[in-house]
Amino acid sequence: MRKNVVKTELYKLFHTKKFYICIGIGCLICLFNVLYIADAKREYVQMLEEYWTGSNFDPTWQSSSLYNCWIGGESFTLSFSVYFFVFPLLVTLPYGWSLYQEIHSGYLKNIAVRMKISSYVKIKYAAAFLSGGLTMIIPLILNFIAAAMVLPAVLPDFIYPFFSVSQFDFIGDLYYTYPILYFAIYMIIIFIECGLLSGLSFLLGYFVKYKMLCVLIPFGSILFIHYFRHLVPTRYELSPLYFMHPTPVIKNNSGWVLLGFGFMLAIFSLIIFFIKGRKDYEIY
Amino acid sequence: MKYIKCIKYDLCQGILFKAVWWLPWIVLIVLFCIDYDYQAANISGYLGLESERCMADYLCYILAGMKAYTPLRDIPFQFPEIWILIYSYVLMSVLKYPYDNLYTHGTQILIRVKCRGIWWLSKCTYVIIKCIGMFLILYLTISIYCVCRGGNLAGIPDYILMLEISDYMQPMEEWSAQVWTGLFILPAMTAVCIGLMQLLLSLITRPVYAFIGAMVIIIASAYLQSAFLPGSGAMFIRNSAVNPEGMNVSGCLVIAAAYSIICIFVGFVVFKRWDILKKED
Repeated sequence: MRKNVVKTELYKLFHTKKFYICIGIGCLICLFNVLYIADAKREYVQMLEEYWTGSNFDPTWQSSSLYNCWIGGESFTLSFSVYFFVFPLLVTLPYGWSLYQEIHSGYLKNIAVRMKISSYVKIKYAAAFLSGGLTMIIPLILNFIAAAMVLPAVLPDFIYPFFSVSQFDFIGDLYYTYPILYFAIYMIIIFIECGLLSGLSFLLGYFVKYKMLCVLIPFGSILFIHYFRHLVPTRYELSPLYFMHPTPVIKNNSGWVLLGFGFMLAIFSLIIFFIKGRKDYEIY
Repeated sequence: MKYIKCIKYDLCQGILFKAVWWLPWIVLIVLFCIDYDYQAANISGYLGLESERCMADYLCYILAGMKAYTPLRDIPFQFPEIWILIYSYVLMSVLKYPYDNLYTHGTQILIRVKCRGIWWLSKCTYVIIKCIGMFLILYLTISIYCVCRGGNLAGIPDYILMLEISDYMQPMEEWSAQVWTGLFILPAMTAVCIGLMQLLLSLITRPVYAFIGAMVIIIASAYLQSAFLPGSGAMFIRNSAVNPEGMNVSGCLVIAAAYSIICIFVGFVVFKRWDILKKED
């Protein structure tokens, strides 16, 4: 039974229209970013050719490296602003109100007579986790690959002012030595954080009165954290809208903050699960 | 007559019976006012300023938004959090009711009204009244807070505080028509405009996608300074009364009104062909 439920949930996840729509919206924003960056690069190269006729010399070669121009490396384009603002909505949408719907449609009652509800919720939570992580990560990977087609992967050099990562940032030294590894580690972290966020929104289905609140509450909470961050005097970024970005936006990115945020999401999910998920489900 | 009845029904169902939305809204506004007082006290203490609080101080802080952004590699884009929170909350509060009303007992009303146009106009009126109502509550809360703090309702804000806290470019000299419109009419009009856009989008897609669309409009308005983006002109910091490179309020007002009328008309056409038996997902 358990194996069948896993199969069903995975089937549902990969056959849900919402999942593909959210990935589609994310990819659209990320591809728009590549178009903008590629156009800016083309104009810049044209300008250089006019001024430096007959020479391939580019004095600012480092300025348009893949590592500081893809959406996870820059923080000045419209697409960066939109993507890192709406991501809490995009990651929670595919599975956000799935539990709410199953509780209110009576589907959960059918499951309750076949298997333990807590096991079922755990499997669904895993599917929600996967959907959140994938929804966030796929557009970013697509953007990275597309940007790599038009921009040179010049190794970042600290002496140039084009790179925002410093020694105070989480794994900052890796950025200047193995940038691919740096971004790969960040992608894994973003995947986990977004998965946990999606999982939490899924579990909110136990409490909320309206299904849309499963998606709106995490988004609203993140906006609140973003607002309250300026009340805490620290050099590290506390807003998820900024620290989910692989390179620092305003303040330095801290590994402890990333860990703390993930831990907080996991704790909230566990509390909800222990309060509601482990109770015997009354089918009558 | 049917239209009036329909509106009465919507106002009762969507505003009075959903009064739970008002309390967090008031708390949010009071929180922003306290935040302003905290920042102003810090700066006044540091610079040795002595200025009396006035209602415009709080309004200029809450409705400031952000200056026009110039995309430069070393200047990252920063979300104007207070301004975004204000509009997100207003848009969230008008998101659910009109769409839900299509699938629950609202369908009974639709059948009894016998005219889809009236039903649609009534939902648009609901969005308009609720957005305006939320801004009225905002002004009322701020004025009560200001009076409680011993402030002056009609005063002119201190420019040093405006500059230090919200980065205003020039002082607000007087309560001109430009300032009145920028602080009291345009923000509500913008909320109405984006609310109606969201309503139209929720009819075409789903409410949650409509909300994402509205958020994209909000962020684009913050990123770009253009009268054609509703929201861009609603940031008081971009008002020509306090910014030499600012936007003309009347132009923004006309454009917001035009967008609103277009949304109502397009929605009317779309809703005429709308399949009310469509299943909810």
